[in-house]
Amino acid sequence: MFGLDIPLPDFWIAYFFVFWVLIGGTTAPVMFRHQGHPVWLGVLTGGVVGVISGVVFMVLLTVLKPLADVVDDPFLGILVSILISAVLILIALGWLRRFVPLARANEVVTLAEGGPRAPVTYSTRVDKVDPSWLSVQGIRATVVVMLAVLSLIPVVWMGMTAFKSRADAVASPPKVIFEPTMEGFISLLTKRRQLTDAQIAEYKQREDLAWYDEVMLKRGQAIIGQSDYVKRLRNSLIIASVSTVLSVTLGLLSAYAFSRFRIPGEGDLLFFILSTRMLPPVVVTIPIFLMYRELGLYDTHIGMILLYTAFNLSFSVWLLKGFIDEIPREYEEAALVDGYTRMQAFRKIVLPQAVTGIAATTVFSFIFAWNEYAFALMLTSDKARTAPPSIPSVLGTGGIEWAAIAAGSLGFLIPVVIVTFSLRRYLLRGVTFGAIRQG
Amino acid sequence: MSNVALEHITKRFKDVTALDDVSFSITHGEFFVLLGPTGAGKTTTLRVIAGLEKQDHGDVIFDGVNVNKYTPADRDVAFVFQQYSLYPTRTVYENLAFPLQSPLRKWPKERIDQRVKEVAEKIHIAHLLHRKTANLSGGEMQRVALGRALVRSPRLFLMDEPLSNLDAKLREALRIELQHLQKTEGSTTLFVTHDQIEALTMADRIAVLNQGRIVQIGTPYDIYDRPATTFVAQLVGIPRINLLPAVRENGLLNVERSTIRLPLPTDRTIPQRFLLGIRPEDVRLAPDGDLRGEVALTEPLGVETVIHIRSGQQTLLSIAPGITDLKIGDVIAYSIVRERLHFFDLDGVRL
Repeated sequence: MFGLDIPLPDFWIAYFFVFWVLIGGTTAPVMFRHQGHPVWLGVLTGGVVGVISGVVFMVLLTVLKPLADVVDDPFLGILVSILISAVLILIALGWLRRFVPLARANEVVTLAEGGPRAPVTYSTRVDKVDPSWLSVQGIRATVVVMLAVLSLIPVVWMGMTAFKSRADAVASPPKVIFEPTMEGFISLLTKRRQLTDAQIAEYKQREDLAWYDEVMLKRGQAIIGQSDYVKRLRNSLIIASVSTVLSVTLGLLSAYAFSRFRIPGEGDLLFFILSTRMLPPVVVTIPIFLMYRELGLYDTHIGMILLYTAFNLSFSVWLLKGFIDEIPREYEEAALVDGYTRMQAFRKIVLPQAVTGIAATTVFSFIFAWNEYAFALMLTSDKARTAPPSIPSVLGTGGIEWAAIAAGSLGFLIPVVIVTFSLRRYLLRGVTFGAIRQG
Repeated sequence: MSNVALEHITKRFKDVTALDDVSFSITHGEFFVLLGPTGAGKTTTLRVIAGLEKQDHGDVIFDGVNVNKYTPADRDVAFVFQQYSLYPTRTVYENLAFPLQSPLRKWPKERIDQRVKEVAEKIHIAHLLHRKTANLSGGEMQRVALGRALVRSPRLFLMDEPLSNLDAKLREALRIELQHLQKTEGSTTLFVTHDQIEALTMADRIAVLNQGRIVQIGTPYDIYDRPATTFVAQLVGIPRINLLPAVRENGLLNVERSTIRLPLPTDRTIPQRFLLGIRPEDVRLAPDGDLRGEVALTEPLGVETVIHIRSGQQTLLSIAPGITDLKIGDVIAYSIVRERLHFFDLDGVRL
């Protein structure tokens, strides 16, 4: 680009350009507003400044290229030159700020009247806040957004792959723009048979083909039945949700007991509970496998639910104990005196206040049970097999079906996202602040 | 008829004895105050009565029935906590209604509603009923806490320093209101405080508690005028009682390291060495007084002035009405009211 020898792949060049445009777009309006200009002028200037910053950044990178040779490690060299360039440009931007002219009096949009004389770092009125602080906020937001974009790329890529055809999925260089198809999903959800040319011709004559049959026919395959994917997903859903409910319920009750009653050997017991989590699952799978076979729990829902409940329980007891410890016991005592039993007081007073903790524990327990691989691989075969060990089995016959795998992973992702999103309101702290005065 | 009685209650927390053989009884309709410094076991006593804490020994008796095995709910007492402990995320109305909604009572909705409004009216929080408790001021919170106790008309009110988190003005106002409420309702109340003024002004009877033991039980008059020990004598009364070491000499009472000489009382036997207690109001400035001293310090309080009188190496506190024009170093004459002297042996027990 521009005949420059930029030591970065195209993707990163685009990425950094967006970054600088965002930096310009978030900081310049603050400066312009502060000087009394309308915001649109700031946004416009910011965009231009951002593009210029991007170009300067690339030029600086080229200039700093010999640095990579000095550092001896090309990756580290690029990293260092990126950092140096970024800091230089930021300093330059901060310096250029002084050249934003004050608007003429008849053009001034808002002029602060009253309020603090010196700039402050916090105010409900934008024009009262020190512009440098506001622009730092803008830079921070930009960095966060760009990092979020970076970490979302694999997920987006997975989503894209799920809709790619077999050829597009393995195309090199990878295709960003492609023709979406449902092939991946269909091959994930069905069992198929390869057809001979004669058969394909015969199939094409038929009138009763559904749209998914036709999609697969293009690949020369006929659908002969459903795959196990939905069943596996249903197993996962049953096992993960039942074991989550169980471990959170049991954990809540025992955490309450640990928190409120004088239990002999409390510390030892708590440590014992935690110690069940100390061994990596792989180490205990063989003994558990033998036990389960003897007890008839191998490849059963009950067996998996029991196992995940036991495994999550230690975690939920510890996590919930912390949350319950924070609820002052006076609330329950007031309820006890007011004519309620311990259980009623727990339900009516403690439970509503422990919602935050319960939500957090639910999310963590669910994610563990949902993602668990080692136990599920060893202790289930068909009836109770969950999704994680079944996705690799899609890899199976006739080449790797990347689209199918991506579609499977996408489906696998959705329940966790739903659980976490629906509970996110409770994950925020400080929703329920009590009316206790700390004397 | 005694309504509530504690018999030989002992309670230990690990190595600490919180209550040591505590016994007292509260009569129906009485305002009974437990007075003592921090850590004396006052709150523990309340919690044992409420059933929130189980005593190691002894019995709690309500109307002649041993309630040791009763749950807090069955005991039908109301507890007002120092920290208010209003249920968060609930409105004032819900807080007041909560005790009545208990499955124990099975009150119909209309009756609960009527009672809540009646009580809210009585303690002037009717306008707050639909506010969340977290948005109330300290005084309002405490009123709601009181209201939550009042709605039920329980057998006994237990109040754990309910006024000590409030500022002085509010405390005074609520104190009067509380007293008035208690008398008009005729409710039996056990009130815990470390504030001697609260105790003296509100109580029908006071029990003084120190390190888990009951030191003295009596009316405010008894406690103030016939303190059983130097501990009680020093606990009640502002400014503090003058406590001076004294000896018997030639038939006279001689305060050590001072020029104070007083005649000995004839109605009791006094040991050779003892402690003499004189309330500041019994040290009276008088031109014709038989004792002389020097003004060491004056503390004008408006209504009265506390005067520190030096006699030898001892300092006596005295109270003079209004503001005086005495200066440090002035020599003054004063007298001591002889009928109102307090004598304690060297262990602090009243003679």
